[in-house]
Parts: sequence; C-alpha cells; structure tokens
Amino acid sequence: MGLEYEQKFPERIPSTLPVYRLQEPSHFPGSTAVLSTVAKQLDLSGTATEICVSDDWTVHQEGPYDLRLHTKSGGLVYRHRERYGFHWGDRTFEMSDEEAGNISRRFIEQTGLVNIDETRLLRVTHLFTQGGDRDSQRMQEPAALDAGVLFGRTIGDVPVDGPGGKAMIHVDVEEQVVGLSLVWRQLGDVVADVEILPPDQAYATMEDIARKVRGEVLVTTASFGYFEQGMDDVQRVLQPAYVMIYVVRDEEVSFKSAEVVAASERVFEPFRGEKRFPATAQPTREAPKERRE
Amino acid sequence: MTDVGVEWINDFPSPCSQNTLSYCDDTSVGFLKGMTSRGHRAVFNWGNSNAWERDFRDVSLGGDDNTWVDNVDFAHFSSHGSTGTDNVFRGFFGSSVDSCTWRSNQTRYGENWNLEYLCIDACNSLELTRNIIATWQSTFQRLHQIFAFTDLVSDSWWTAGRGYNFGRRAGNNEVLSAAWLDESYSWWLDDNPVAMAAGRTQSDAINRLNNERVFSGFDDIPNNQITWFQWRWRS
Repeated sequence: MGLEYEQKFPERIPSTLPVYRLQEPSHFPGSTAVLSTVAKQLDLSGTATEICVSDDWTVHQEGPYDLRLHTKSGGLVYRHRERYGFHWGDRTFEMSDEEAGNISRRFIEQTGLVNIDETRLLRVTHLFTQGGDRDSQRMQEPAALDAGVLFGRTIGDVPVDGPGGKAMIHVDVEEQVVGLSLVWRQLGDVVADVEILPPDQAYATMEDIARKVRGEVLVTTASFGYFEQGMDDVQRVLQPAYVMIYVVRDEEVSFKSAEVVAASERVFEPFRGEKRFPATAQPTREAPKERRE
Repeated sequence: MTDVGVEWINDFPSPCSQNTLSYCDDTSVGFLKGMTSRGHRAVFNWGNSNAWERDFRDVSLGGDDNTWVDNVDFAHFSSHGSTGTDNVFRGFFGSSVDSCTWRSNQTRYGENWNLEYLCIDACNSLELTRNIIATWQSTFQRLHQIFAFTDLVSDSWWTAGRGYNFGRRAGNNEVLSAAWLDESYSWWLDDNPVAMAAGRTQSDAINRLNNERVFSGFDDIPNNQITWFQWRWRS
C-alpha cells in the first residue's frame, strides 16, 4: 500500500457551523413561472415560444435561446443555440481571462441570478479546438473558442465544495454571454449548529481505501467546506464535509475518484445516493465455439 | 432510430486483474437508458465477464465486431483505459475472450458495417499528450465521431450520471459534441472530455463537430477519403 498527500486539509477549520435547510425547487407547472422570471432577468421577454417538459427538466424556448430548469436541483442551463460552443472557422477567442472574468461578473451583477457576495472566481476554462492533417499527421496549434468562467460559492467564509455551488458563464468570440450553467440551491432556515470534527475520520477512510487497492494512491485535493450536490440530485440540507480527490496508479492503468466524509457527528442526509442505473443480473454469455472446444 | 450497444466492466478477476471500478455499469447502462428513453433501440448490454475483446476487434483480424460493436450505430464502452507511448489505446476487460484488452490498432469501424459513433468512457482514451491521429485514424472506416477523455476520468457516484445525460441528449437529437462536452466535463473532478470527428476537408470536420446529431444525415466517409481530423475539448 502506498498513500501520499499532495495536499492536506486546512489547519484552520471552524469549531461549529450552521447546517442549512435548502429550499425545494419549483416543479411543473410552477417551474414555467420561474423560467419566465429568469428569462426577464436575462433580458428576454419572458414569453416562451415553446415550453417543453421532459424528465426532470422544464425548458423555456425564446427565439434562439433555451432556458432549462432542473426540477430536482433547481439548477439552470441557458444557451444561445446557434452560438454556444460554435467554431466559426478562422475566428478564435482572443480575450484575456481577466476580461472574460469581468464580463461574467457584470453578467451576474446585472441578472441577479445569484448573490454576488457569495461568489468567488475559481477558474477560467476554455473550449479548445485543434485539427490535424491525416496523411502528414501535422497538427495545428490548439485554439480557444470560448471562455467558460467558473464561479464558486462561499457561505460566510466557508467555501462550498462538491459538484454544486457553481456557476459557469460562457463568453464567445464576440464577447457575448452565450451560455450559463448554474447549480446554486437557495438557502433556507438554519436546522442546527453542529460541532466540526477534526479530519481524523477522513484520513482513516483514505487509509482504508488505500489498503484495498493495488498500486499507489495520491490524494490530490483535500478540502473542507459545505458540500453541495450536482445538477441531477435532490438535496434538502447543506452540511459540512471533508472532501478528498485521489488518483490510483497501478503500472500502466490509473483512475481517479472522490471520497466525501461528514465533518459533524450528526449527518442529516447521506452525501452519496444509490446507483442511478445499476446493471441487472445478466445471463452467462455463451463462449464462442472455437473457445469451447 | 439508432441501434445502441454497451459494454462495461467493474470487476477484473484473474487473469485480467486490475483495480475494481464501481460506476461503469452506471455510465454505460445510463447511456443506454438515456437513448432508449428517446425511442432508440437497445441491441446489447454486456457487463463484466460478458464483455469481450473480440466484440471490438475487426473481423478481418479474427474478431467479431461485425456481430457486435460494428453492428450498431452507437457503441458505449466504460472501463479502465490507457494510451501508451506507442499511440495505441487499450480498453480493459474482466475476462479474456480472446484478450484482456482491446486495442485501437485492431479496430476498423463502419467499413461495410454500421458503427457511426463510439463513446469510450475510460481514462486516456482520446489522449491529447499522444498523437490521437495515429491512435485512431485506422478506426475511422466510415465511423463519424469518437467521444472520449484526455487524462484520467473519475469513477465516482457524483459524476456517474454523465452516461444517462449524454444518452438523453444524444437520443434527443441534440448536437453530439456539445452534449458530450457539456455532460462529461467536471471542473470538480477535472474530467476533460474530447470529441473527435473525421472530415473530407478541414471545414467538413469542423462542420460535423458543430452540427452533427444522430438524425442530421451526415454521410459516411470511407477511410481513403478522410483528409482531416478535428477535435475539441474543455479544460
């Protein structure tokens, strides 16, 4: 067993934190009114040319814009259908990360979709493209097509970790906001104040994982914060957790995963649910003839 | 309507020993459910010891792809993967029929058969630190696009929904490359999906990445007419 840490948990961790109830997202038909309001915040008319309800999504279409609300998480996706992610031949994205960040911050302020005081700029990502000639295998230099400006969330001074608590704003080559993905659940009342445990249990959990795998385990991220689930999941309570992201290297084969461990004695809701699409039992497949003999 | 087949492996007993994975069924079966929820047809779903290397290997090289992977329109594979310095991708199986790995240099998809889209939910499967043209050019025999990952990809509950979400959007006739990059990118776990298309020209390949959907009617390109590959990713 080999276990190494590229990063350890922060030394300064609050002794207590409030646990928040999260507001339930709107479901259809109420979700259409929410989308109409959001559309107005985005400077659209708020009158949909088409409304579609499919799975857990309610979709508001207005001109070239799609606005989608996920009714499990309350997450929002906004797209300009003809411009989001589009590659205009020789036109590429030239704007600096700082400018893209400023445009995105102004967009948040103007639309009011999230509380600007809760946001922190995490990273500027890019959609890149590259091509290459088949015969010579000569490749072009990668070119950016957009900026995907990623904002994280803080509550008080505590960061929100996990796949949620994020807003990504997409700025295209014409310096326009052409997309948004947002998972930012609305806080409700304080359910309880909880005492924060030291990260001993998280370290023990990682040691247990490392004992069970082949090869070397490297923890690349060890963080503390509130844990917010992603777009697809129901979450009723926002509670603190220790999060570890780790890589397992076993000769030529590697993979990575994450582990989330409660940071308080009382756990209000599990951090991980059941598998969404578990395989059912399969009949034994008959081996090919030449192998049966 | 599109025919869909999936193969996934979580368990790797001897002689194909590897670390156990936990969510390859979720991603592949999720993809299948996403597609069938939009009216497409499930043709096969082979998991763990039922997933075989010969299903991927070209029939001209002794494989059986004409019955399986190359006999559907859209195939999805979820398991361990790696691309070596030899620019060959290897996908790992939990049983040896006829080998514990399928290799990109033994795949020829679309030639006289069917496959148009291949999704590889495995590490280093469109590995941008290697020569991805060398890795995959012989695979494109009328195959249109590959959807895969550069660097490592997470095996976790929090990201396992990408299979269903991609399948739902692909099945719903959305632009395939956008659906793949949106649903499989994870800033949190740093999963970096890549979509790669072949074209008769550079503009043809770009057009396919911009616009191709399962019902958009882009034609098949014989391998000897491909002059350009184009790919895109978010990082």
